[in-house]
Order: sequence, then C-alpha cells, then structure tokens
Amino acid sequence: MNRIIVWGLAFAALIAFGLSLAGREGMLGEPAVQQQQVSVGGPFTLVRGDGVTVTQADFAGEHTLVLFGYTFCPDVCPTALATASAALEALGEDAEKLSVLFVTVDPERDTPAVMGDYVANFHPRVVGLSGSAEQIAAMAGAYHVYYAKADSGDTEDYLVDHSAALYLMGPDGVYLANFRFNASVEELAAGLREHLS
Amino acid sequence: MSGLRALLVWFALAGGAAAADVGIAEPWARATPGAASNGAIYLSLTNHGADTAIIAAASPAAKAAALHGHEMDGDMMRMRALESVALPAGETVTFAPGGLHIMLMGLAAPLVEGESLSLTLTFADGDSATIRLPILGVGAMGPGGSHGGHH
Repeated sequence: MNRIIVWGLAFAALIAFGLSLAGREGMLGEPAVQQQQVSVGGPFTLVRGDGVTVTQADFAGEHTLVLFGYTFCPDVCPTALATASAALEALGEDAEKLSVLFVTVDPERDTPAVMGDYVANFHPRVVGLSGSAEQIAAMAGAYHVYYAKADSGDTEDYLVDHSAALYLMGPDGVYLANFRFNASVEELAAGLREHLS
Repeated sequence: MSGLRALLVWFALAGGAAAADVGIAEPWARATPGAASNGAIYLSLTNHGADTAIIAAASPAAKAAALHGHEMDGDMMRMRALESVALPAGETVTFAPGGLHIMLMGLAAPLVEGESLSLTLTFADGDSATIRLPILGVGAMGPGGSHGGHH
C-alpha cells in the first residue's frame, strides 16, 4: 500500500504547531507556558448522531476532550476512544464534567447516524460528530488538524491519515492540554483529573 | 462478561501452538463497525527458537492481510506497512492497539463480536502457523481488557 503522498500547507502548519506544542509542554498536560502562541480550537457547528446540529455553546460550562478520526479506522481511533472511555470510568463523578467529542474526518462515509452508532461502543460521555465537508474542514482547521485520504489505489476502501492527538478544552472553550492517542489510561486519567478537579 | 472470559480462555489454549518454536498468546481481532472494510488483529509472539521473523499474514476473512506499524510525524499518525516483523530469539513481540497490528484489508463481511476468524502467519523459514482467534468488541483493548463493553 502506498503511503500518504498528499502534503500541503496544512501539514507544514501542523508540523510547526506540533513542534511548538512539544517544545513547550511535551505531550502530557503541564499548563502551557506560552499558551497564546498558537490558538487551538474555536467555535464549531457540527451534527450529532441523532441529527441535531450542535455548536460549542452546547458544551459551554463543561470540559471537552476533542479528537478527530473516522469509523473505518482500524486501530488508532478505537484505541484512543477505548482509552478515553476507560479514563472516564476512572474519573468517576468527575466524568460528568467532561464530554469527549469524536469528530469524523471522513464525513463522506461517517454520516451523523453512523457516528452515533459507532460511539455507542464507548463510554456514554463520548459524542460522535459529523457534518458537511465544510463544517468538518472548519473544525479541523480550528484545531490545526491535518487529514487526507491515504492513497490505497482503491477509491472505496480508503484509509484517512489524520492527526491523532486528544485536545482538552476548558469550560470556556480555551485549550488546556493535549494527550497522545496512545497514552495509557492512567496517564490520560491523571492528566484529565488535574484539570477537572 | 464471564461467558466471554471462558471463551477467551478456550481461544488462548486453542491458539497456543505454533510452528517454528514461536508461541502465540492472546490473539484477538477487533470487531468492525458498519461497512468498514478494514480490521485489526493483535497478538503476542514469543520466540523460543532461533532468530526469525514474520514475513506474511493471511486470513480467509479478508482479501489481504498486512503487517502494520505506526509512524509518528509531529502529532500526525500514519500507518505503515512492514515487510516483516523480526522475532529475535528468546524475545516476545507484542502486537497491541496503537502499535504493531495485523491489518485485514477488504473484509468479506464485518467482524462481529463473539465470532472468530482464522489467521495464518508465515515465518522467515517458510513455516507457517494457523490459529483461530476471537473477535472482541469495537471498544476492546485486549482479552484481559478492563475496558470496552459500553453497550
């Protein structure tokens, strides 16, 4: 299988962003020293599994853990979501202060209903979000997230390369920390607890 | 869950024997949602013999199976096909979620939790081992897994 060959400005921007993140706080949740350097996140309009349109306002007052992926993703996405689910379990009551937003980067196949069915496999605080290609692009752009279909030579059986970090946002929508997709449950739970309690 | 655990023990025993002095433990596949055509298999391989490698994987459940790893590029994650996975003498190599995995491409049918599938691994010396492995939930992280199972 060919590896992804689609490179672009978005990717370059992501690398710069990734370096700046790595440089200032590693991947695990220390409060950022120069947080204003790059803004992560922002307003969004997406569609929930039940077809209802939601925006950042629907999550105001609670923390959100935002990650991007797609349901056909065989390894990374279910791993990240299972880890997040286990971390939510570990948080106990604090889990009620957090929603995990799983945003598809493959809206073509991941309709809102598909996303809704998919997240039912995980913790009830995990929300599956889809939307129009434009809505998804805007959300991904706000998080400096790169995604592109990997060139598998098969138009229907494609994989989507994507950024695989989890972004923790505060109740006011401001970026707080990010975590590796393959952080351990303990690491993720500890990082979340630090901000939730 | 206890029924599942019993099933897993059975699978672990059934999957224990392999060619080339390589022990295979805790093999499992993750169930696939909806119309997803790719799946992932995880297992642990302990080489009790001389240095060898896995050079191929195949399953009747899919058109093709490939050895995959991940490549980090900034925080960009890219799956990468591997020609082979070395199994040094005396060592255990673990295929686990978020790391090495065997990817099934072009599934004939969705992988359904509770069912099983067959996998053949081919080693560098030409030996091969065929095992059956259980299909765990979409949210599973392994047979011993404490998480997953939010239905």
